[in-house]
Amino acid sequence: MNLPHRFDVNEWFILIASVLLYTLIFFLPKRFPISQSIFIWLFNLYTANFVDFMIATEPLDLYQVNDGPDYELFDLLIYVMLYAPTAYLVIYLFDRWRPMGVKAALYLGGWALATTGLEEIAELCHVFEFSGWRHLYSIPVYALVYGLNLILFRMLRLLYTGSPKRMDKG
Amino acid sequence: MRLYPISILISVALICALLLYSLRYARTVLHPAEIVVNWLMFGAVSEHWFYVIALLWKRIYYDKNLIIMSNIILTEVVLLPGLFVWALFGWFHPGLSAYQKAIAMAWWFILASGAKYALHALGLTTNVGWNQGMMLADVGSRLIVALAFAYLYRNLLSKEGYLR
Repeated sequence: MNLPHRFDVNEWFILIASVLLYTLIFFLPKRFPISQSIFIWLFNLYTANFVDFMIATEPLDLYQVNDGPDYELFDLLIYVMLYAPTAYLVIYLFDRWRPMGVKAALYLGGWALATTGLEEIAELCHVFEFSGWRHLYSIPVYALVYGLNLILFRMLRLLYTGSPKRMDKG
Repeated sequence: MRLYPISILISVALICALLLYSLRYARTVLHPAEIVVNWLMFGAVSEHWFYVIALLWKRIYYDKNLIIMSNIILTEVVLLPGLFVWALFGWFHPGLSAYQKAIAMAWWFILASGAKYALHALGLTTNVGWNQGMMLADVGSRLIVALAFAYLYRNLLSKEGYLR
């Protein structure tokens, strides 16, 4: 695995944001079984990998991640340490507050805007370098990805209802 | 000639769709969460590993064309993980002997390496300092890692009380 060309602001941004996110998650009261949290983590790793491979490499090559076109250690850390815990927080708070109807749409829109804001800060710190992508495009993409996360997580929980533990309770 | 990768893509997409649909029958042996999580885990690791081999080590070359990329990605993130779930079905099936479980794994190995070899033989990927032996080692190591994860996850589900 390639190491960064220079350890500068983009690497610091990834490290600090990761530590902040994981600290927040570890201090939150446990809400889901670990097996469900693993699902959230893997789904977002899978989606981010897939989307980045399709649009951030040639022929589209809409943006560049970190120091150069080569794949490096901190590219991997973005998937593992930033995307997945953010989606975990989206699902966690949704499950806690349970917004319905317009409130649910506002909740998703709010998170999409907040994540796009963070993306702008990341761009200022040279984590991303856009060459065709715009922040405006990120808003619907994040809303879609978070919406998909919520739908799939709900489906996964429904699948758990047939498990022995639930049947014993019933 | 331009239609060639498209016809492969249509075939791969159809096989993937059938495979995904068939996974519902794996529920007779595997917990639904196991199916989804093992599928995602295998897909994420496969894709990442392809990144490393093709983009970082530059050992596999492919035309930078969306149709060709879609063929490769569908194979890595849908076909191989789908087949892996069926291999797990065989591996954890209570009615199969150790010999039959080994045959289920051998089938996965043949189909997974066959799919990768087919991409190469059809001209979608070109090996640069990469050969069939390395490809077999790559597929074999993925199998071992994914099987280890499947055991850990199954153990976790059973500790949480979702599996008997």
